[in-house]
Amino acid sequence: MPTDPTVPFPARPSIFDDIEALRQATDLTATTREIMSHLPIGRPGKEEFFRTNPRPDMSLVAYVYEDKTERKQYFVAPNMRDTMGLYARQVLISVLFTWPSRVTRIYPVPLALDGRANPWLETARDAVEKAKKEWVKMVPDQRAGFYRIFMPSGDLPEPEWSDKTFSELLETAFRGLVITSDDHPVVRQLQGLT
Amino acid sequence: MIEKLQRFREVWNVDFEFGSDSNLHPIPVCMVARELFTRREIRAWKDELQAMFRAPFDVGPEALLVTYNAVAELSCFLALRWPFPHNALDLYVEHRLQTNAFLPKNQNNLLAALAMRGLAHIDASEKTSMRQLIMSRTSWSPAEQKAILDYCATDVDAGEALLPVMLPSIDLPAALYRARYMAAVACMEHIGVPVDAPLYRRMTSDWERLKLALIRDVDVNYGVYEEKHFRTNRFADYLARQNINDWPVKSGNLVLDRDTFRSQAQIRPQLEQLRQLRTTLNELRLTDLRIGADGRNRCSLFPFWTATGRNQPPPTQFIFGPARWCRGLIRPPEGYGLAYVDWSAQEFAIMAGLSGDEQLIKAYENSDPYMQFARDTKLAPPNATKHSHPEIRNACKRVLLGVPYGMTPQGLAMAVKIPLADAREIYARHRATYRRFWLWADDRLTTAQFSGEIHSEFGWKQLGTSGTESGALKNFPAQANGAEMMRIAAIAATEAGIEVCCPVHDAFLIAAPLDRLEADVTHMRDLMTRAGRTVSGLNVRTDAVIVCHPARFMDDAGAPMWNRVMKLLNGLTQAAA
Repeated sequence: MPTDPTVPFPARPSIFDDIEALRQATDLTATTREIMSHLPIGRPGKEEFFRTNPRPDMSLVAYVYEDKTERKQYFVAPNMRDTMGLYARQVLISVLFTWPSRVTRIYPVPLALDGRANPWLETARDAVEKAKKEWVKMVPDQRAGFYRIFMPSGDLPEPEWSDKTFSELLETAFRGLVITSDDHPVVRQLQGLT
Repeated sequence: MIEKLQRFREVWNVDFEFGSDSNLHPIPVCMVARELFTRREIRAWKDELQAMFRAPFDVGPEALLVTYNAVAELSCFLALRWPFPHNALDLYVEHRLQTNAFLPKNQNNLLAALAMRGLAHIDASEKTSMRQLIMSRTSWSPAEQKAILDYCATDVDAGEALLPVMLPSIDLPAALYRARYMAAVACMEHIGVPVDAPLYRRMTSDWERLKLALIRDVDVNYGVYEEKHFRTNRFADYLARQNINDWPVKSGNLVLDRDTFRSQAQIRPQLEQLRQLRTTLNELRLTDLRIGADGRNRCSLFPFWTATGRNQPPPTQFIFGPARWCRGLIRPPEGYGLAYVDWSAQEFAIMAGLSGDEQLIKAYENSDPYMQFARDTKLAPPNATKHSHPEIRNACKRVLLGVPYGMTPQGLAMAVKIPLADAREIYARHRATYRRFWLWADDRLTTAQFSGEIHSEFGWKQLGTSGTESGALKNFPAQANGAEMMRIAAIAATEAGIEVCCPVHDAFLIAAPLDRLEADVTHMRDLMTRAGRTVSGLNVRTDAVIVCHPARFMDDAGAPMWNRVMKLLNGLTQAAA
């Protein structure tokens, strides 16, 4: 070998003996935690699997008003149900977690009107109920007139439930979308006052 | 200042002037050393230096050598066969650290370091003319000798001026460790990479004809060249013939840069030979490789040159820099072997170890971490292997390696040519499976953005991170700690007497006589594993590829092009005969 193999280093402790004292503590002084600033309301997309939070305190039978033009759902406060009349619809509000978007969502599942059979509503409720135990997705079949329910062929990770209370989730989801009095713009509009 | 240095009995500011021999080793011309406390000065001309068996000042445990770019001074120590100093402080490295991220790279020289601190310095043109005087001659008149020594002393003056200004911000124990690495760099630069020098000379003498022959040979399969020129319209026709209709376009034009070709060739292997040809023609200036008369490639490794503290040797001068097929020139001398020892999935190990994510650690500890990820996330069944699920493995590998860089599902979909929905699925599974890692990565990023700096485990840091692109910040922990791992291993290996030829990103090339090769490889791998454990807390695995004379080193990806070049070269030689 045409190089000089002489080691010119002084005798001293190995680098492995010295180095540990130099380790710099990594203080993660600033952390990132997601603030749930928005919760979508409505049926999950046909591409998405979802789970329903199975806890009893995570669902509620209530009334909502759906503005189909603006594609907004309003929570109707109990004192406004009579005022809203047939505009308000009874729903079962459930908390879903969708995959792969990993988003928490509020789904007001409509309850049947006057006990009449409605395959759309029945299959939607079936899907929400089934999703308490396993991942499902619901795909509308317009020709057949109901939602087809699918399960994934493989395993999906467990849902990541928020640690917020149901009330907090509702507050976030329906922020600015709660009808509490006669002078609410939606009520006035429905009454032809604006 | 004195308080910080009081553990040392003597502090010597030292500078050498030197030329270069045919092997590209330095030839010391003179040296000036001045002791900080007593102002004692030693000036020595080359004859005096050659007569000394050791430095003419204390280099023991109670003394400190201060210099600007210690590799130069320690290379002179090696040329003079002087024992290395026990302690060194390199103001170049500390300047790099103190200014990392907010200075262009060319502002790392001594004059720039002085200027930015408002310190007096000699004129740059005067420095250049003195360097020319030193480099261009082998003998000097007495007056020139005095002028050169005086010039050498100005660099010592500079070191003395910089030291008190920089010292308050210097973490001295960490700085001594960094300078210890500079000693390892001096050793690696001194040893160099053995190449097949006769073949290299043949290739360089026939290089222009060889390039034309190469174009003709490779272009048969593409039809995109006209003489020596790559024609974009012909390439567009080729893409149409191949039904490739999603080649990246910018402002209506095909994007033809190096990175685009590389990423396209990864998903379309039929483009690989064309990519290598373009790299060879556009970037390879074979005569720029620095090959000494002893058949060794030696160039500056530019330690600490990147923002993450990695080396950055000039790609045109360094044998591992140009097109991969050129690595076929690397060949051990007679009686010797070479080993290319690299860490397996080094960056993966760092992220797993430092985040403490047990699932990620488990994945790394599996012999195939990418397949383990696929199994962990249930993208593949428990009995899946890389042979049964190669596409899933490839996508998982991209995710695991891309996540530290902030890879998005869209980026993954493009990189592995899978539907966006599939990419989203894989990405979501990564986030759901390795939650602790994500929490750690997000917190590191936020801390860096709030505090304005981010650092490695052993103190290399990047400043001004408040405005830094988050992709670069996400990449910092893997790269900067990878560099720490390299430094620790390089120090350990060179100090253990292993002949380390060079570092190559996450690998080393080492040399040894055949009767010692196996033992040295085992020793090197052990040291690298220890270095990996020191940085990441995990036993980072290594792989070794061994080549014994007369075989040559060969990069798998470069082998087809190497064989092609050799065939053409032999054809040219025979035609000439």
